[in-house]
Amino acid sequence: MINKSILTTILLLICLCSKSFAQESIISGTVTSADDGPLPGASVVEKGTSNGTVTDFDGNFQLELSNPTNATLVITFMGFATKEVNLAENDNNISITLESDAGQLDDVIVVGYGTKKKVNLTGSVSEINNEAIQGKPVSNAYQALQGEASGLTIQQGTSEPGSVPQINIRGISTINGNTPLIVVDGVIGSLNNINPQNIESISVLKDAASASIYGSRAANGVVLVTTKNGEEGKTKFAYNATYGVQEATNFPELADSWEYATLRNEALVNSGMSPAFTPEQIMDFRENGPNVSFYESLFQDYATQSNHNLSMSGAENGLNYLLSLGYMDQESLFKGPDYGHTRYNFRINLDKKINDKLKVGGRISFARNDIKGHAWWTEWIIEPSVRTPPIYDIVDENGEYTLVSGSNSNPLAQLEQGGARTNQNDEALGNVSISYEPIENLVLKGVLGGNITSNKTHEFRKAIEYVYPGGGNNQNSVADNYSRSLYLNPYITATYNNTFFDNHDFDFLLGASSESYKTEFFGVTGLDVPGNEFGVIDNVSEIQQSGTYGSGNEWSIQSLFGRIGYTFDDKYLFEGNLRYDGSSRFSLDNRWGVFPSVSAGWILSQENFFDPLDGVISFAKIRASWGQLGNQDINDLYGYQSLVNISSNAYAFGNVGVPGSYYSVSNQNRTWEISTMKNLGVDLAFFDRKLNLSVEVFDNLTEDILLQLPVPDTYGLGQPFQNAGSVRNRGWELTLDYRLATGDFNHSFNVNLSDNKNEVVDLRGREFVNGFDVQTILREGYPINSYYALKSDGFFNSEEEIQQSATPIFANSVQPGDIKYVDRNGDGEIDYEGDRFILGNSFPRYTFGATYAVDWKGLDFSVFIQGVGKREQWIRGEITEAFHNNNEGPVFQRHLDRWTPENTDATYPRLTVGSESVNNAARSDFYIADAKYLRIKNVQLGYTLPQSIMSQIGIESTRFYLTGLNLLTFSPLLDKGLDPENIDSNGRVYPVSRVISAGLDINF
Amino acid sequence: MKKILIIITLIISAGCSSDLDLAPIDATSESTYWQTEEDARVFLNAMYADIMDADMYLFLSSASDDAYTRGREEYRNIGSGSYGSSNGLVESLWENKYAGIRRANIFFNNIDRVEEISEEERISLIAQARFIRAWHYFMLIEIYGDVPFVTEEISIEESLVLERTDRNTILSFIYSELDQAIANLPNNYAAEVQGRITSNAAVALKSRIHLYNEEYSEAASLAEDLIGDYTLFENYGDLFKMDNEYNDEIILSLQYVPTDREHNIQYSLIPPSLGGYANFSPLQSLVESYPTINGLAIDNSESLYDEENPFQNRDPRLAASIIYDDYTMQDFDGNQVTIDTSPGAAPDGLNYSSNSTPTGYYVSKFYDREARNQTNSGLNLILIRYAEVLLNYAEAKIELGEFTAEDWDLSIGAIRQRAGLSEEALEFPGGDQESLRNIVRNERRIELAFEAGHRFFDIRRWRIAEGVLNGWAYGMKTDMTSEDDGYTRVEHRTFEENKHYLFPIPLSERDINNNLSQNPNW
Repeated sequence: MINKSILTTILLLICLCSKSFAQESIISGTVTSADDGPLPGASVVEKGTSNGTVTDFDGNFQLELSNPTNATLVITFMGFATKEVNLAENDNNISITLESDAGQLDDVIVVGYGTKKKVNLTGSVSEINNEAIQGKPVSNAYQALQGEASGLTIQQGTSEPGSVPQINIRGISTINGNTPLIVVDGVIGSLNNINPQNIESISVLKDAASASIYGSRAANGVVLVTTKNGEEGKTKFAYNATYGVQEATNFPELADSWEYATLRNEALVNSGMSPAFTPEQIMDFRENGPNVSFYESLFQDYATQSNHNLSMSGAENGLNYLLSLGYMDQESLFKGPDYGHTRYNFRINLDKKINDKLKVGGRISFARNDIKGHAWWTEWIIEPSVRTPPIYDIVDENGEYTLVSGSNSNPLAQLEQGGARTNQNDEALGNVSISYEPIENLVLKGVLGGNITSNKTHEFRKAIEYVYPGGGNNQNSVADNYSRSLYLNPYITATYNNTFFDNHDFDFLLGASSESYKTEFFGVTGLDVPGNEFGVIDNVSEIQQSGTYGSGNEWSIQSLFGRIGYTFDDKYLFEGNLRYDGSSRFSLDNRWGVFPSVSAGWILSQENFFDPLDGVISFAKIRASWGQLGNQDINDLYGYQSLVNISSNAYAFGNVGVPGSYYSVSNQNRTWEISTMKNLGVDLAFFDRKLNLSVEVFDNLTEDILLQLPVPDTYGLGQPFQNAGSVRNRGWELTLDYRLATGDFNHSFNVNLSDNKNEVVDLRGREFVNGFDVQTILREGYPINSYYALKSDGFFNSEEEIQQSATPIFANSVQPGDIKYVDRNGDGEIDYEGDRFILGNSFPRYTFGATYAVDWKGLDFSVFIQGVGKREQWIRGEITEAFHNNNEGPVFQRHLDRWTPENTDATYPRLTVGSESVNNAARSDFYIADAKYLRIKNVQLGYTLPQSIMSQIGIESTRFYLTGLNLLTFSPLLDKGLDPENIDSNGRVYPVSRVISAGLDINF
Repeated sequence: MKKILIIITLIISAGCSSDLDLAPIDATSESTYWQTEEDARVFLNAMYADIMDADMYLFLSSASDDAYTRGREEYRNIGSGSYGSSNGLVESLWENKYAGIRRANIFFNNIDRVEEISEEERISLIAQARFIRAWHYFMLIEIYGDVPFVTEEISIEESLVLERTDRNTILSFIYSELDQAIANLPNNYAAEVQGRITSNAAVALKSRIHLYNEEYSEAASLAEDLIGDYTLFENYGDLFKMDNEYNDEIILSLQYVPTDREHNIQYSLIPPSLGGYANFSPLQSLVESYPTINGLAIDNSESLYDEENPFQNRDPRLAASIIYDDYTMQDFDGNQVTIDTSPGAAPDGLNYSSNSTPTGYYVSKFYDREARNQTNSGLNLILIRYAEVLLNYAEAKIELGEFTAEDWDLSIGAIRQRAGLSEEALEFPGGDQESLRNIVRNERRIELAFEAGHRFFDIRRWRIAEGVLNGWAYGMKTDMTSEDDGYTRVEHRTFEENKHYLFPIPLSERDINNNLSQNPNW
């Protein structure tokens, strides 16, 4: 429906724009680059019209002007600065020279509350421009940014429609709310709901000097998103679309039925019990299967994904405008009735210059997400389906859902007949701004920004009729949940820039900001809709108290901030920032924090002594920064006060539920967590700026880190947030880009590589172990939340070896073929108290991204590779263990290489069930896997139709392309059936999908 | 120009409008709580929920010779002796008890702040809280031995350096707290607050604790105080039905309500054909402990036991507690169904699949045909009932060597009569202390099967665990195998008498508090 209407609109617009024009004057010329001679393929357009052409192989062009008396030509070419040439009356043959635009001196970059010339940066800022986003078949902006900037880590271990990836800048400096601050056009928002096509540029502020203007909100870094707006000239329309298919990338490889039966017998016999399957049964499995993977049976082979975006933009009479519509549809790979995610985006950007002193602007964006999924929890659907052995059918020969193995429900029935949960999430984000310049160089600006979200969930769990006796899911239920939030962020700034005595450039910024957030929510759950058909609350027979609730909460922050910048002689750069923040999350005594930063830079290449090097090194800068940032972003909003919460139906008397009251955990002394960040960077450009290199090192020390430290159970009240100690993150980042032309080929290479090492510096002499199935430790000198477990040392091969070795005190049987553990404290027995080791951690190191792009005439091709060089992931449960927790299954292919007296050189221990498995199921590094990976994230092949043809029908440019996401992955973790980005140790997730799409971009 | 200034001023004032002193809209501050009687009652309500949850009520028995759990690893590993100080139950039981103790200590520190309350009510509420805290410490010392002894609201810093206190010190405290509870609690509550702790409940608990600590004369005398105050409900099986939740045998039960506060233990108990999962399966050892209808053990030559029809002529409590092969019962629609637990029979047969029984048995006790979605029940779970008091009495008297025919009649005799055993089973058998001891212990086992972990505690306090929790645990007899006389092997168990009588102190606790010593041999 939507597709059709968009196409109709385009056709209409095409008709409107294709007009015939009088041929009055012809201009010809040559386009060359400053040092390489003729530039073939450069675009030459008459300004304000769609009249244009491209240069030929020798850089020559010829163009009939539609307005010969007062024409301006706009010459553009990738990698070069756009040039405008005003034609004189008698010009008929002109030479035009384009300058390489890499690292243009005048390029500005968006920084906190303003912009800055790139060359004058003294802090650490990465920029991602819209080229990196174009053409990727993504369902959200996060996916488009992954691997594009050094120090920016994005992880998505599932492609389930509506899921949100994790994002980090420069590692874990705090445990709470590790998500960086996302600022969209000056207002704090989210990346989730942004239409990626609207993004003009993204600045990633990584060090304190860059981010401290955001003070307490910036401890995890800041991502500044600037959206596109109209450019001077006639109205432009842009339409782009991608349409493609998704498929699941990876499932664990299940053993065949007969292999399963064989191994099951072996495990039972190893555990002292009788075999379950006769040789005849095993033969039958071997011949007839059924070899069913319940897990894979839940998914379709393919599902579609599409994007459509249409925008109109332009500028005239001081009014810049952009209107844009976006549509994204991602079907779910889950079987079932039309599951998937549809997002609608709508945006208006307006900037109006009222007079020389006064400008007003406004931005409004709206996103609606319609997410329809099954009515259960994905974890619950996946878990039993992974555990089920391959000897059962998920649907029997009569098409009925089976009930097998450890469950009174069938996961496929739950997907296909169990109802649905629909989320309708709306977000409106906007701001109005007014800026006023009372005297030259002084700008006063006021901005009122805000964000409204409204989320509605409707869940109808249908009763499922199983033909087999004993089926559960036989009571239907309806739940409606609703929440809304309002975030307001008004701020004012005054800026003053001026140059004194020719070469002293000053800029000042003073500002005040206030943020307030309030959310309200309620929900109701009802049971038993007669007839199982009309699932609305009105129809339920009974309201369920435990699913019925309503409440809300709020927080606020007030801030004052200032910046001073000073540049001397375009060589020596200095900047200082100060921010003063108060947070409602702290008691009055601990409420306010001051966060300063200073930074300086030196552009060596401006010095006279540098002249001899000019031919090789075209630019060189050294910069350094120091600063402090605060963090207060903990989810426990009121935890400095001791509260009494009432909970309904805590107990009952006389068959009626009664409420109970509970003390909250609290710590009135909690206060700001403070990160002190140091950054040192070098920026170099070589060979006329064709090769650019930036290297930085950083050292972030977070003190008074806010942690929910474990407390003794004897304390009796759970874990309050405490200012626990210090954590240090040290690392380096490298960014390299290189452009090269060979004949008609233009190549570009872009590489970024970064590392971050985390260390707990100070815990006041204490240490803390967290977790149950997966244990982590906080210990001075080791990375935060390091895995803490026994260390395995191969398998026992003989009874004598067992006799001579330490064995676990918690296992009542250890046999040859079982895992042997290292007796760390040498006391002759294995126990967790004395024998645990620190064994890696799950945070990625050596993250890298590399892009190679080439274009040749109208063809373009790019490959983007992304990955992680070092990461460990602890995997537990049925995804890794045969017969996990005494279940009937699973058995995977990789379990076939289990220890037997004949196969002592095995990769998996002796198979066992029940208590006999206790030794092998112990928490140990046997289950900690190497999760490094390299992924061909995106490949694009595109063709841009020759402009000379398209401009005849009023189309400025048209590009067709094929694109793929997550095309190929290399990782040791894949063999274990898990995606390397998976961060859930149970692996109970919807898999990561591969997307292959065709796309179209038209500008007219 | 003025308009612009006005707009800027408006934005500035908007910028300064938000408040940093925010109070939650759904909770009150601790400083303003504790005003009214309702504040105190509501706080105490939450403390009741700490006594025991339904899971522990049931699954503790699977760490005994009565039952086996396939899926609840933390209980299963305790049953088989494959556990250490980070076992889930070892950690969670400790955590739950100290959370309950903290709530009780908060209560005692604040109850005097409440002004809008009658003295009578205040005294009653305090007494209920004393019972609950004493209960927590009773559980702790039984399971862990010496434990940290906390009677105040302590700080995190204090909790980091706590040491263990001798269990006898804590035991004296429990007795004195229960004495105060006995003195200050009423014995009757209005119907709408049925389920509150009575003075008699405190008497019964104290009797149990004395019995556990081999203080037999106190145990007997406290039990005797209650004799005559209660009556045994007429039908053993119906005692555990929703309709009879407040009958005259109940002294204290954990309160549940359909939908609003329900438990789902039924999921673990009933056969797959009724929607169950067989996560709690009775063992052959328990099945064999039920005598025949004339009160004689099945291996007694004069019993009516018929190996061909092993479930005929048995103590009716067997059928009221356990579902066996060919058992007939009502399903949720009221139809009579027969449960086939024979090996491989679909869907309920022995080891047919992961949700069918690994022992050949399911549980009929607690069966609630009104359960929502077949598994979510509002049935109260009985914590203390009159039959237990009678058994406490009988055991104490036997241990004292004072057990008479009269004692028999009013205790074991009465219990057997209610259970529906034949006349010859009701007669005082006489015999020496050892044989009477065996009788009362077996009677206790079958009468209280699956209830509140009685068997878990009994085999430990009787010091018989190394005898009953070592070697193979078996399920039903089949013709599938000739080894072990055809009894199904369920699990190989180990119980080390120098180690397993006490749980270890939890790993998570010792990781954080170096002052906590460990129990012997852990």
